[in-house]
Amino acid sequence: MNTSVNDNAFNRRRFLQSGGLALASAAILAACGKNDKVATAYPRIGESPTTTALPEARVTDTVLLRTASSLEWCAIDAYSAVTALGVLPGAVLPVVARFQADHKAHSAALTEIIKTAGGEPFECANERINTLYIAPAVELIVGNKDKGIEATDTPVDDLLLLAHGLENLAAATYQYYVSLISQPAVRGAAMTIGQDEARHAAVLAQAIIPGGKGIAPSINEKTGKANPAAVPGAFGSLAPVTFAIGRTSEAGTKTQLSLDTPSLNSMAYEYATC
Amino acid sequence: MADTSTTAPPKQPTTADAVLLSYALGLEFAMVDIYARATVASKDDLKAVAELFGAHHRAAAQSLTGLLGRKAATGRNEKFYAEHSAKIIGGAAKDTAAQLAGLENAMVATHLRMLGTLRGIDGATLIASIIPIEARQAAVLVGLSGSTALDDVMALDDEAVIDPKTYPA
Repeated sequence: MNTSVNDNAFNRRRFLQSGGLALASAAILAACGKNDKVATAYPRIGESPTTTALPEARVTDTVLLRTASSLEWCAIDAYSAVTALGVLPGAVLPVVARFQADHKAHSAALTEIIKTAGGEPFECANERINTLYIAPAVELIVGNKDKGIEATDTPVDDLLLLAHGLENLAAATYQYYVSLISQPAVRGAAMTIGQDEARHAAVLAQAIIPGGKGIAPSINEKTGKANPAAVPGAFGSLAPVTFAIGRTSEAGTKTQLSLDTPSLNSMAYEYATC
Repeated sequence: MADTSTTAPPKQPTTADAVLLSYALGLEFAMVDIYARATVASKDDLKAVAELFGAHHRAAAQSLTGLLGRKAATGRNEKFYAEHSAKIIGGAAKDTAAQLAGLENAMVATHLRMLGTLRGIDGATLIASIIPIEARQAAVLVGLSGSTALDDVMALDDEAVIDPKTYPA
């Protein structure tokens, strides 16, 4: 009996102790929760920096179209730069002028679609694409003394390869974005432009390798790399666009560049402005 | 137009998508056979091109068949084939190239119209991967037809859409 009474007393004591521990824990946790307020009560030297929350970055149809527009402006600017160098042969200049005009028309078309959707058009080049892809390519072509980069020994070929690479990048971007765009009508509008870019690339491939040899995929016997092809496969490729430009090294090689379609870190989000 | 949807698009083709994609498949089968005829009727560069482009249409047909499964068309669009293969008669290479360029442009226009209607992502993605190749093929064939005008290379005629009323499945 006594044992039983003692056991009950012990159990009650254990229960009260446990309850006390729980209350104490809750008080400590609550105090931790109020830590910010407590901390601000302490005197300190200087001012704490204010923080600004990052803007919301949702990938919407509008963002995808704005990014596509930014890529069009990359091409427009690149064609201006290419023409300004004054090294392209006369026969190529009308092609460059036509393609640049097409890209302006594409941007205008995208602007209308974006406005119709209630979005804000984006009518300037994609800073990140310029920095990552176009500026380094132009440096390899014209050279940069500060960086020790010599100008290319094949400027016309390299300029055409750069243009071909950018057109392929644009075509791949529209094709890729079809899988991300939610509205069927917008997908159709995007690929109407995308197929234009594919035609540009086909024309440039045949300017680089004239005649029948520039139509189907082939391998450069010197470098072992793929040559530009007007029709490179049975389906549009989403693989990185690669090409080699710049001064030919003693080993006979050039610098290989690789361009990827604009992804999450290269998009013209709705908070971005020109 | 954009951003109005609150639900994610379906992945698989819807019932309406399957009808459109199956129609596209019948056209691809017809293009395979038209190119087979052009390969026989042509020489040199155009023969090699016809063989290559025919193989691309076969690959497109195989992918569409894989996507559609039992809903896939099993044969070519007969009326489309009959009308257009009759124009591939082994005449001048430039004329054959011009005919084929017109067909490729019609395929591009048809697929673009279709893409603006398809709801399922898988079907839309596949059609989007076929369009740029057909556009490139059209550009090459325009060149082989003897035209150097960029207006011809870039021409995309909305009126050229292949209509199921004219060419029933």
